[in-house]
Amino acid sequence: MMDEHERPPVFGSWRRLYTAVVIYLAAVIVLFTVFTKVFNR
Amino acid sequence: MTPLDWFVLAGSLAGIVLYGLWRGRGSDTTQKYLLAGKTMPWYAMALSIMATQASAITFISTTGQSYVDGMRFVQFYFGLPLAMIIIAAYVAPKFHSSGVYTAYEYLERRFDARTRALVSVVFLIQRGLAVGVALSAPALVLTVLMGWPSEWTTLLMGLTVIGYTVSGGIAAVTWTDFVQMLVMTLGLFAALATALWLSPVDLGGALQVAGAAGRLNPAVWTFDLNDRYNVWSGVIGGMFLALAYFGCDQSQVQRYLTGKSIAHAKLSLLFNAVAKIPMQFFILFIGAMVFVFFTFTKPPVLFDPGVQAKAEQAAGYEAVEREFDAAWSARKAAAEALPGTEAQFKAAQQAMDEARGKAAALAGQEGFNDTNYIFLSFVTKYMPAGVVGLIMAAIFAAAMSTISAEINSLATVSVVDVYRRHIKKQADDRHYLWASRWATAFWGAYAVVTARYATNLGSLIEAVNMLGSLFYGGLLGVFALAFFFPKVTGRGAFYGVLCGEAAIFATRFGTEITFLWFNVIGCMVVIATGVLISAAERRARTP
Repeated sequence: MMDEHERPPVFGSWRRLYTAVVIYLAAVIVLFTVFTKVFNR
Repeated sequence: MTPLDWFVLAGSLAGIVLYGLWRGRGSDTTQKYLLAGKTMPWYAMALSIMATQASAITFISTTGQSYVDGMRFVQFYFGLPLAMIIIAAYVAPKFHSSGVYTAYEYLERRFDARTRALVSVVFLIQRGLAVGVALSAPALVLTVLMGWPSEWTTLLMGLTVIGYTVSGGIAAVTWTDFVQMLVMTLGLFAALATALWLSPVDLGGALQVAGAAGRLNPAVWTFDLNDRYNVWSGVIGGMFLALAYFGCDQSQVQRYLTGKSIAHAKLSLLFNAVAKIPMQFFILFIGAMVFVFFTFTKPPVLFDPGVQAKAEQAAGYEAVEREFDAAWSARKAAAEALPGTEAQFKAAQQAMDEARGKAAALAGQEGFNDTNYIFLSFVTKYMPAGVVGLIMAAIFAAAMSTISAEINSLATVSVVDVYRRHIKKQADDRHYLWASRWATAFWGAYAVVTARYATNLGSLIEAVNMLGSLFYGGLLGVFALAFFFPKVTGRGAFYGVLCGEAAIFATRFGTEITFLWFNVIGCMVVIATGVLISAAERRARTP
């Protein structure tokens, strides 16, 4: 059983996991922008 | 529907109910019944959170929305990952470690009983109004498209949900949500695969057609306060909305209060932070592919069969239909000649939209919107046997997952924040367990009854959506005060909520600002008022 202070299963710490989610969101928005520019006319 | 479809639908529903009853056995204390004994693993909570948010009408209308307006609705979810990080880092640990049953119980510990009572009542009104609509909306669409009597659809869904929710409490709700989410995912994959398979063009050609129609627009950077869906309103307004929904609404808070530990609760939230946007993109992409399908297969002039039948009776309909047919043929020809014919494609599309508007006007439906009927019209008329049953099962699953979570949370707030706090303060656990079961049955029956009225009053759906957006800013503001402003007093919080709500109502009825910004405005006013009143109170007390 994990407790609050236990590390998350990925990225080693909660802070790093949160940062990874923010980077992921930025990447998704960039990807969607590229998708819109390439396909939407 | 063919016998195979009925078999798939009935089998899925029976399987979900039996699984819920089995999983919910042993809920023999209040803590087990309302919080599953805090034993839930992160993946069950994660899918339960996702399933609770994905209602049937979202499932049905999101695809239709993409058909008419493109994929830009996905931006609505851009703020969700940021909200989930904030909730995982600050909110979930505080709720979890304080041992509360409801989010509003926490407010009494932080402020006073009056603030808890006010916010609990706001929740009961808001969710109470929404639960009937959550049940009636899919029934309404299924009635029109399939000819099923809405009373029976409502009753079937309502009784099924009441059965396993009353019996097994939140453990049954969470585990059925888990299975329902899997059924929904299966249904979505089947829908996309079939839409692509039925299209006469390959994926590259489909992207070209959908792009020419302006349907592939998941990122729009134009800043406009009156425009609902762009990157800015999605990131900022969407974040505030998600903070309010996942951080302050008991129907979601109760999901992650059941976690084995704070870490499990955090993981369930972060899973949604990552998975929600791709899931919505996927649903919207299905809508865009349905649009491509109807570029090469003639769609009905209006997708709502009831309104279409009315229009057909009106004088002048034949001319409108000819106009529509000519525009569709021109659009098809332009699509087949792409690239290079985008302008002709758009002109033909506009002519089709104008013909649709004229047909709706003939039926006496000015400002007509048949978004909710597009996807199911495609499913029922063109999908192969078996897949129709699977998608119907997915729609039922989506409705049931939302309703079960709502009646479960309404019962929890009714018992914990009202009955136990104000009516019968000293009773044994068996009594409160009994009260919780009855409260669940009451809210389930209430949902079935109000759904009957909601079915008769179509405009109520809009009214309830609008009402929901009027309350979240106030809820978010008071929880922001509780978590991040330690000097704010109970009086500051109470009057802050009242002022925040007044500001939201003034914005709604006095400006053109779109609803996603109500949460930002309401929250800011609650915080500002709460801080100012608390400061004035402290100053008044200082000798």
